[in-house]
Amino acid sequence: MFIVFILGLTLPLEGIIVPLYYQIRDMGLLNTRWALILPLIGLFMPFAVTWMRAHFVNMPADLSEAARVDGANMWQLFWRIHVPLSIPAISSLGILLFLWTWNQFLLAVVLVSDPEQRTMAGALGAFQGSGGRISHCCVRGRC
Amino acid sequence: MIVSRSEKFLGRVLLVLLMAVTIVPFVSLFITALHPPGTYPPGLTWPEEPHWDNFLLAFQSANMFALLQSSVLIELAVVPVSILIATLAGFALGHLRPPAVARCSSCSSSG
Repeated sequence: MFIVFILGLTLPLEGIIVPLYYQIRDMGLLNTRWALILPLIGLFMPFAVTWMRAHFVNMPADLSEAARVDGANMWQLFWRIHVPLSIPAISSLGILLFLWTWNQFLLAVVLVSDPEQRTMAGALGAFQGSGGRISHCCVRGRC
Repeated sequence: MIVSRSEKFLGRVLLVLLMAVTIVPFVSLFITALHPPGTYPPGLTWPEEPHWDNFLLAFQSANMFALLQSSVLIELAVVPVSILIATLAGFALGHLRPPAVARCSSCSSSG
């Protein structure tokens, strides 16, 4: 079942960007921040689920059994025992996702044309495109 | 692990070289930004009068605060939601072993 997620890791963003554009347009979300937020959450899922699964696979089952013996239901088992144990995995995942969202360029440029709604990388790309060449305008932010 | 002295020395020299290769472009960017606007300064030449206000002007003309705010909003929406969904899913797939995973005999899994 998790093979589906691993196959998702092989999917290139450039391959699905065109259908994604049509889908976002039909949802009426073009040129808003949601056009970036929703596809990004979906695109991060293969990597993030594989990452967290790799962590949880290494947790000993005896731990959960002991918790169940002590009377924990599923929710308590998850929130009080496993989540505190997985804080290192969660924080490294958070750092990676933060970095990839901040640097997201292709998605921002295709789906959002208002520079103020994009990510920083996408908005600064507008400076570059307007001149057609990298000049001191791009480096300074104005001409 | 016992490492010979020459290996240690070579390793450190290589590290310093790689650090320089990584840092020099950033230093060059910084120094270029200090030059008066409109010029094309060659290489790493420190300007006669550094224009520290270039940074302020760039911030204002590129509307950096709005961009930063936009990026931060997108981050705040994407990262917590992704982590929450992925942790729940990873817990289910990795620890609870739903029957679909257990029955899959051709799947190569680590446990």
